[in-house]
Amino acid sequence: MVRVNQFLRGSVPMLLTLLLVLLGSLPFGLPYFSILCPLFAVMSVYYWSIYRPDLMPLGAAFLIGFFVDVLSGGPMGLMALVLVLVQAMVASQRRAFLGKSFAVGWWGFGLVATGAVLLSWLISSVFFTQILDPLPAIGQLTVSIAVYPLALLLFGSIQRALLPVV
Amino acid sequence: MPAKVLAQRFALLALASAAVALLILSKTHSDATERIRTAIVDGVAPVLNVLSQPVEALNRTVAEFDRFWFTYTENERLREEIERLRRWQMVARGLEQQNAALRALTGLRAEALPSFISARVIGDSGGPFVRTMLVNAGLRSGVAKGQAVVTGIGLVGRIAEVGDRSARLLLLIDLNSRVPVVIESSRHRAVLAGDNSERPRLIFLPPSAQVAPGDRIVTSGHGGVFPAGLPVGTVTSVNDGDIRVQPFVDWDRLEYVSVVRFDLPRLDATMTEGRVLP
Repeated sequence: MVRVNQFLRGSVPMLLTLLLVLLGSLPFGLPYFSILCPLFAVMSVYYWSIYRPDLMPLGAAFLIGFFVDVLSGGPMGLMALVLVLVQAMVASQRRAFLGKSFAVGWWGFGLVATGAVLLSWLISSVFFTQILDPLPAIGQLTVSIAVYPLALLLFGSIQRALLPVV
Repeated sequence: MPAKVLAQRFALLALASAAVALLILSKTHSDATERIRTAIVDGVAPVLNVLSQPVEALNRTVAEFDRFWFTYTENERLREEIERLRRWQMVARGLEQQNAALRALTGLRAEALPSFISARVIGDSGGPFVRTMLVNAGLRSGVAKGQAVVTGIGLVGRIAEVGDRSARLLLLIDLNSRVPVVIESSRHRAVLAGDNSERPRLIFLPPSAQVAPGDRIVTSGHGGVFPAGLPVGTVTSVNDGDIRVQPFVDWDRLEYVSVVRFDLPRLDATMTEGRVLP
């Protein structure tokens, strides 16, 4: 029983991310929403790779990315690759962020998200064999960085409520 | 500890290679990845279907409030519109009779009328590099790949992937969208090519063709996939060779769309019988 409980709690980060991705792909009828929708998947993988990398392993990052690719209709494997690299990078450098101020975490997210967007722009350009307009991606990046503190609040409260450090 | 690090490195290498392999596969064998994709989207479709309903209700409430606010000006506008349409109706009645008479005279057979499948938009994901939407109708409702998707005011795009109960529609502004069109007044043929911007480009227009801002663009029906004459948009700018078209459809207000079932039965029949059209 304890094990089942632990397993369910442990799967929260990944299920939460999948839910956020799903919510982000609803037709909200807002101008440019589908283009500028915040990169919830990158935020989530970034956050959990720092605070609970055991609950956001590489496999989970891959699955989340795969799900994003399936929903978006873009090149399959694109976000899977990007998120696997984000997880690997952030999890290996997590000591630099653990216990640091909010500003450091935000700055780190800005760097990681910029890298992720740049990489997905590069891969998409190669995939579609033309240089794509980077402006929508820059817009999405800006929105994501602006929204990150809210996501931090959400993830933080979930972590405190459900996932006390064992 | 080193064993753990090694395992971690191996996992990274394996998963990154798997992702790259997936990318290459979706470029070279898109039908295989498409099948995986439609199967998963089909599974998620009921969830999206439910989740999108409150969102839609909210959108509708906002729209209603908007309408209430502008009732007076809207009324004035509609009154004028009715006047204008009444005049058009008279003209259309005359033309309809003349058309019927001329058809009877020349023995021209009436074209097969397309039928429509209604679908609700349940997903609008895409991201910065693709312009697609998910709708809640699929093979079970008679939707097939390549069919045109329209609203009351114009062409939206075409069906790019289709599952049992969901389908992905490729908007005509997407990078990969190519629609055979004609300029309504001059009947010059061209292709409307999306480039992910709000205003797709008109390409392959004959150099002699005259085109000016305000010209209406409709589907030409060439290629036999789309019916002819679906309204697409109006030309907004012409700058030596770069002709931009503003589609009629309002992308942010898409709730319901109609998938056009348009078969060319006569063409298929003659092809299977091995006969040549007269």
